[in-house]
Amino acid sequence: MFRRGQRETALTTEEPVHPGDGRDGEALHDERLILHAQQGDLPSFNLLVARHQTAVYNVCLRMLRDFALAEDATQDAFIKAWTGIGTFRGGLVRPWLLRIATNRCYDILRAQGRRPADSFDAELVEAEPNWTSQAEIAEQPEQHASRRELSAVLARALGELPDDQRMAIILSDVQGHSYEEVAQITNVAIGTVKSRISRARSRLREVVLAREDAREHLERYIRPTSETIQEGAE
Amino acid sequence: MTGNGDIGSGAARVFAEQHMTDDELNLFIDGEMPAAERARAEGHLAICATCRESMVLFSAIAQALAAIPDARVPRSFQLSPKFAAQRQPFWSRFAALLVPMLPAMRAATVALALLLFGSTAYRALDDTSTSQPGSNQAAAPQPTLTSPAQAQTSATESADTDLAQKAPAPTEADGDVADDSAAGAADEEAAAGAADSSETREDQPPQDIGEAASEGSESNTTLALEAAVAASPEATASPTSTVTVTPAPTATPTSAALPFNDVDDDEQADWVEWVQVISGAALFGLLVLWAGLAVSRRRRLG
Repeated sequence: MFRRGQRETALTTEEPVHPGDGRDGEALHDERLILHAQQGDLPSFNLLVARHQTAVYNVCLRMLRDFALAEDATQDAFIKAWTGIGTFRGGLVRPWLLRIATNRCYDILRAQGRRPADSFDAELVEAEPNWTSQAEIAEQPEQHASRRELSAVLARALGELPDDQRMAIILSDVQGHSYEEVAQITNVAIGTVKSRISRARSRLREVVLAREDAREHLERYIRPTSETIQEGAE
Repeated sequence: MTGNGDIGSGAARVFAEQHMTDDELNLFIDGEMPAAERARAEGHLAICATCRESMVLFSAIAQALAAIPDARVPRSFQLSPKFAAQRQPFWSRFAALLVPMLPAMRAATVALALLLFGSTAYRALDDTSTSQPGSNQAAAPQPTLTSPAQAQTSATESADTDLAQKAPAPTEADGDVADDSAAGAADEEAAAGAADSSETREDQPPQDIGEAASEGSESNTTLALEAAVAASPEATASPTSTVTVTPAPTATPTSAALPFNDVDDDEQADWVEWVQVISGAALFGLLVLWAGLAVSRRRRLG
């Protein structure tokens, strides 16, 4: 069974912003940090930035598929979060930050008026082999390689999805958020989230099965049931 | 049912009638399916190879997506100290304080608007009703009498209130005053009726009558008012009166009765005016807050 929330530990390992002032980014929880930030404490807010900037940047990058635009969108999102920190009504900080970031991404996509670029896919996939899933610990080397190849194919295929479906699948499967959190971040009903995720996976399945090399990677990755998958594809 | 494996019994048999949809499969692998449906899905997957294959495929895709590596952030996105000064303009901070109170603000705005509207409407209706005596008397040759308050003031200057209310008849009974009066035909008829009735009254002090007559001659307005009062049903229904007086046909009973309630009306009008002023000021303040919230929202979205 696929389990969510796998990336949480990897995303909180950023260095403290001000190691010398007695603050510890991992010791202070988001709630305390946001309270301090709401009182005008910029270092506390910067601790929040350090804790969540990887997630925010990667969501922007997957959505915009452009390094420069993703960088700008991430910075804009944090600036907007700081200037509007008084509007934070409690709850989890990361969905709030991601909501600001996704809105910024949609604004940029609308302003661009074009589909995201495909040229950076290979560079993106090879950017950082930051494996965080608990499943791959028990993987065989061949299975590990197949999964990585499959991930590269899927990362490329994400660019073919409509914006809404791509955002839902990035937040759900890539970032590991629950359906409720995705609904909160994208400001849609949870039923819409379920539908978008299902359609996105169906589309990705079609892409994988349509490509022979991708299908081979998939078969090797799920070796125990590769024969039945082959039959299903045929 | 396309026939994939053996069909079990009970719930599994029902679920095996058709394959699971993609939505159902994805809900199942994400653990978002309700418990009851999940049990049936498990029963179906146990006997349906096609759905089982689809589930494995979707699950593999989800796991492969989760394994997509995170890109390293190119730089830190922490804000420099210069942003501390740019933090939260006044309206943003103020809006943040108001956000939790939005429901109460909505209710207060509606309540104050209704209160202001109600008090304004009440005053408008009150002004309309109280201005009717003036309009009736304006038809008579007394254009200077515009409101009962003026009439009351004149009556107070000419005689005490009891005399003005209870003994207007001797004023006309004196004869001279009646001759000097420039009141219209209706008032004259009313005065004449009052004069007739005054002849049989037993409780009229002569000296008071004389004083009232001498002072009442100072103002034609007062005379007209007293004539109207004398013609009113209240005056004829007075327990001090022993003769039933037929009101003049042109006299307006309701308008003639108003001076009796002028004191209460004034107090009530003052109270309503205060309500109107306070509710209007509070509503204005709330509207300023709403405008500020709108500006803050526009700047935030912009």
